[in-house]
Amino acid sequence: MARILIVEDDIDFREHLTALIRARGHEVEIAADGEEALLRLHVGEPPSLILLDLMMPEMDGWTFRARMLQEPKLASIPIAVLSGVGSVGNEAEKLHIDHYLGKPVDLQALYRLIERYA
Amino acid sequence: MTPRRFAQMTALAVTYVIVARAGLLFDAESGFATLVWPPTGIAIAVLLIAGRWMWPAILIGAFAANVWTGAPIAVASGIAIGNTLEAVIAVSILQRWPRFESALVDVHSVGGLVTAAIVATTTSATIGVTSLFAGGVIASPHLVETWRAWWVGDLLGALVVAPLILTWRAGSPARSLRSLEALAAGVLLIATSWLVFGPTLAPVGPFQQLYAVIPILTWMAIRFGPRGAATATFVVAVIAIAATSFSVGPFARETLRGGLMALQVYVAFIAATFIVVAALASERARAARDAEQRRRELETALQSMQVAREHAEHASGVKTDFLRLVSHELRTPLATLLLQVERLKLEPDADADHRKLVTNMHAQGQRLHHLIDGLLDFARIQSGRLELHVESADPSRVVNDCADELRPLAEANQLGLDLDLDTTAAPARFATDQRLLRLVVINLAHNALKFTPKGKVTIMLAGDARELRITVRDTGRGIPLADQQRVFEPFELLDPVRNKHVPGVGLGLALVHAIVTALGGTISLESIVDQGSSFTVTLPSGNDG
Repeated sequence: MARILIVEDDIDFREHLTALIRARGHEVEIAADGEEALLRLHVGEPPSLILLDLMMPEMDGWTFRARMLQEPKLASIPIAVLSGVGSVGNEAEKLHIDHYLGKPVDLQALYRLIERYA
Repeated sequence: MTPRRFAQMTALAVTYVIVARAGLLFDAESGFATLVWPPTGIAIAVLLIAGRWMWPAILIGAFAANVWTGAPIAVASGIAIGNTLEAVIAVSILQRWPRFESALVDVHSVGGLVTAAIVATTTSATIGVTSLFAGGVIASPHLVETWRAWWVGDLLGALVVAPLILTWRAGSPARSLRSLEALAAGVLLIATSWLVFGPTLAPVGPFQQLYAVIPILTWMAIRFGPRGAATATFVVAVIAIAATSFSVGPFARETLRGGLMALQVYVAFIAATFIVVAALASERARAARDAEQRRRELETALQSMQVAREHAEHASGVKTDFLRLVSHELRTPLATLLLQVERLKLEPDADADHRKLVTNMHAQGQRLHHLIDGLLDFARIQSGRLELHVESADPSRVVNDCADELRPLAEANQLGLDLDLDTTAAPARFATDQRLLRLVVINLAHNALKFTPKGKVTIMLAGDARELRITVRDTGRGIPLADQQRVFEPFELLDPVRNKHVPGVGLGLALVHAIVTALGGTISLESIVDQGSSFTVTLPSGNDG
């Protein structure tokens, strides 16, 4: 079982994604933007994997990742970009993130990724 | 002549007469060659400022002053002509002196004034003394000292009085902060001059030296420029001449003219030296101001360049951002929709109809997904903004994934979808942009499934260490030879009447062609009408990423 933190501003999208991941027996937590995600990461156990949207109001994904990398404790948490931006692979590379998924999500690829960190 | 000009000329003539008469009182050599001759400076300055047309005023003034002093009409006429020529020659030289500035703020202009003064006063002294000699006023033994006195008096007028008028008229910006300093310098200069040139104080102090005024003159020349130097020199000259005329001070001699001769040579050196020092100081100040102004101009230019650059960057950024925004805004709701479809698939109590609907929804959603991706990629390629994300990819995996995704469509169209993977020679991994490669294979296979009424679609993979070939073959209607070149053009739907039941925007093959090109590969087509088509994408495989 993996603990997934979804950082995503779109309520519907994250609701359905949460339901699908939970249906496979994983735990899911939600943060509506980077600020919330940072608050969450500063308390309790770190998640197994963060699924990070990039285009969000308030603190966006790029800023969140920059802030994460400034804190050694957070920097090592596994993370995947999950975004509808055009060249999501390049954005992930710029953010020093190994995994990326576009929107719409290739669910099989997402499940495979989650299993790696379960 | 306008009344205004007449008044100006009258004023100049009257002034000339008065000042000349005053000058002639200073024990003039032979009665006419005085060592104190401010009219020369006044005449040069006024003609330079007002214009050479004022010359008759000089002629009349000089004539009147000399007649008043007792010169015969003919002699006075000669002297007057000499004095008039003096001013006209000096002004002519200065007006032809390149870049002459009457404010005397640079050494070059000072050089002009000194040159003009020497040439003009030599002319005047020669004509004046010749007139006196010709008129029988002086005898030949006195020719030399008369000429010398005449010349020195005129030269001093040109070097002391003309700069005084010119620099004050030029008007430099009032510097209120300096007025106190100017007052202090003035007081000190007058006091020192009095100590140096005035009545000898007992005991004779170390201050009673001709050099004592030099530091003060230097100070004024540097701090107050040409005007300061001209004024200070004038003040020193006036005090020294006054003292000497009362037979006191270091220049007191048996005769006034003897004392004045020694004094005026001293004043000439002072005047020439400090007018140059002041010009140098002005040049330095001006250079500093110019440098500062240039620095500001550069700074402004730099700032405007920065703003322009930022603006340009912003403008180009807007385009990228627009595509990025469209991409995000189109994909997000579709992504949510497809997640909902996935959730419907999980419904345990669904019957067969329900499942079929969900499968269809999923297939249509995926189609829309690829269409959006394709349009966005096409827009990026068209605007030269396609960013490749090259990474190590497994070609078999890509082909398999594409086939998995298209299987529902194949089943719906009752077509076979076969894979023919020849991996013996083809590399297991190679460097490419996986997403774009998937888009190519999906588009080709999707087209094949669309245009094949019955039979099957086969996706083949083959290659070697040099290249990788992915072929999509169908058993469809085929493409006539005449149309084969057109299929890769955007928005080119072949035979729209016959194919009207086949949905599509006609972007598929144009996009495929553009992407394959961007990936460094080529695409070829073999087709026979009513037998089928075969698209082959060839990509370099040498680099395994």
